[in-house]
Amino acid sequence: MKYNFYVNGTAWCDGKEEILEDHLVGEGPEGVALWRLSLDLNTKKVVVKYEGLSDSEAEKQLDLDLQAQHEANIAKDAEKRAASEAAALKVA
Amino acid sequence: MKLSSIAGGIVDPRKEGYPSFCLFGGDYNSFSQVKVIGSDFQNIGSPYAAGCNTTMSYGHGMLADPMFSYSHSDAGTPSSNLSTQDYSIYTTFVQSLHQSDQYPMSAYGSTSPSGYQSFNNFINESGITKLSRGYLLINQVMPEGMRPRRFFGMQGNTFQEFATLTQMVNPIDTFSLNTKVISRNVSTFATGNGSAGYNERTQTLVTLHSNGSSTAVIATKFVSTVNLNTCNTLKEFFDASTITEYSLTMTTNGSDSYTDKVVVVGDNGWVGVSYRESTNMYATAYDLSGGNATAINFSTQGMTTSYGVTQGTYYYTKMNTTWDGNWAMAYTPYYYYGCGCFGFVFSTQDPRRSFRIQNTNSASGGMIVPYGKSGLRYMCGINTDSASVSIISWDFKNTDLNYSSAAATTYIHSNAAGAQAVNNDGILNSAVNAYSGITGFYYSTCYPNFQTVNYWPLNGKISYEGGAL
Repeated sequence: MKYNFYVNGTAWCDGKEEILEDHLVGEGPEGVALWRLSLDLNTKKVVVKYEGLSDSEAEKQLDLDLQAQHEANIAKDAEKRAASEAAALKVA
Repeated sequence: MKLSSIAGGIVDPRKEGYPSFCLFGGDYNSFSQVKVIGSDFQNIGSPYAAGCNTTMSYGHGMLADPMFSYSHSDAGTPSSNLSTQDYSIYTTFVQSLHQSDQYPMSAYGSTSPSGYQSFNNFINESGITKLSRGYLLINQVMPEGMRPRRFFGMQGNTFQEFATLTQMVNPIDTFSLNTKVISRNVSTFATGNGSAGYNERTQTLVTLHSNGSSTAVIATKFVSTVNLNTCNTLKEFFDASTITEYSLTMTTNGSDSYTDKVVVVGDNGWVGVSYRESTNMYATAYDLSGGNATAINFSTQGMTTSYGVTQGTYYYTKMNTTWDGNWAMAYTPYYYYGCGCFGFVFSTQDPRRSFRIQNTNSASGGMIVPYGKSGLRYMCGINTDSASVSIISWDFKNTDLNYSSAAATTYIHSNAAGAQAVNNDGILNSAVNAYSGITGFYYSTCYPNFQTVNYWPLNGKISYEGGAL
């Protein structure tokens, strides 16, 4: 099935839509939520996020990944802050 | 003479300057900031920024608001982007597309143009504030530079007015539409809440009432010699109305749309109707200018999992308009509770002129706001670590407001694609990552949050004085 993508590879809409401006077209699997699709600009192939999972399984996985990313960000920020404070103490 | 005009040298007190919006964020431990950004992305108000070496943000902003802060808060710290989560995870709903509509207050509160931000109490609000009662509000097409300052709602056959958006339980005025029915069977066409839209420029109100388990809807058009927004009583408006009823057929029906439709009453008598049902969004323009309600159906948009008013009244389909009132957008999130966006944009001069917007973001929510004379913006709560706030703008000021044919090509300016050509019912460029240059609030991970500004400054005036002309 054809899909339309923005020039940065982000999915825009399915290929039935008539797009009048610059865009890319890729062939991808049918029945996959648009948010999971992107176009690899090097290979020109459609990439499916969480390939092998159903849409509902992919949604659950995305939630888990976002939560994990959020916790990793918090940890990273704490490390950065500690390093910055340690450096400030050294100068003092 | 309509209220948009200057009468006797006095400008309608509802008139505002070009739109602004509020951004806020930080890690809420060491850093926190609120800023009000004008249509040209210049900062117009930022009373609060804290850079602290210790945890001391026990209240947020100059008002030390208790709802959000690092600690000792009622609702938590809005420092993540998990806007795929339910609204009850309060800290992430500030990025939800459900935060804003055309009214001068967000679901969670509002910000003054100077940046003084306050939140309503949304914990155990029990159906008091706009958060859960906003679905009752009618959609309004307003004169240039005005937002609705009187708050009308419809609940079945009862039309009502609320004094404020924070106390929407006991109306200050009610009117039974049953007294004005021509042919509608009020017990048959009474499924769900019904929906209504008003055009102040033509002083026309259109109500829609559904017949249960069918696509049949009765539209009632009230053309009044009295302006709803200046009437003394609702009875005065309805008594001065000429009433016409139309039988309409919707594309589909169900529990979401029985209660929740966006109704855009056009200047030319056509009415744009948009609603969501299950994971689709629909739109049709109906000709209510004469005796025969011709319909033009627009393309149905399919979404992924997302919620409508049946799952929670705060998920009602939103509507916002451009500053000049010439374009109205009906929209709902694409993904779950507030991410991405699906919308239909209608010309309010001729709702047959319509485009679609589709943004399939599944991780960061955003907000739709008007900008400049005749534009709309979609902003997105993407991480601003090493990047600026992502905002896409569409400018319709040179776009043809009138319908010529389904295949007519028109041009819309977008900061993501320059001038983009789109057919009637075509789909607009709405790519994310249109970086605005507006910095985030923290040197590291930080997700911007959004809030409606309750008055857009005009000629040095910095607050809405209340009342109407």
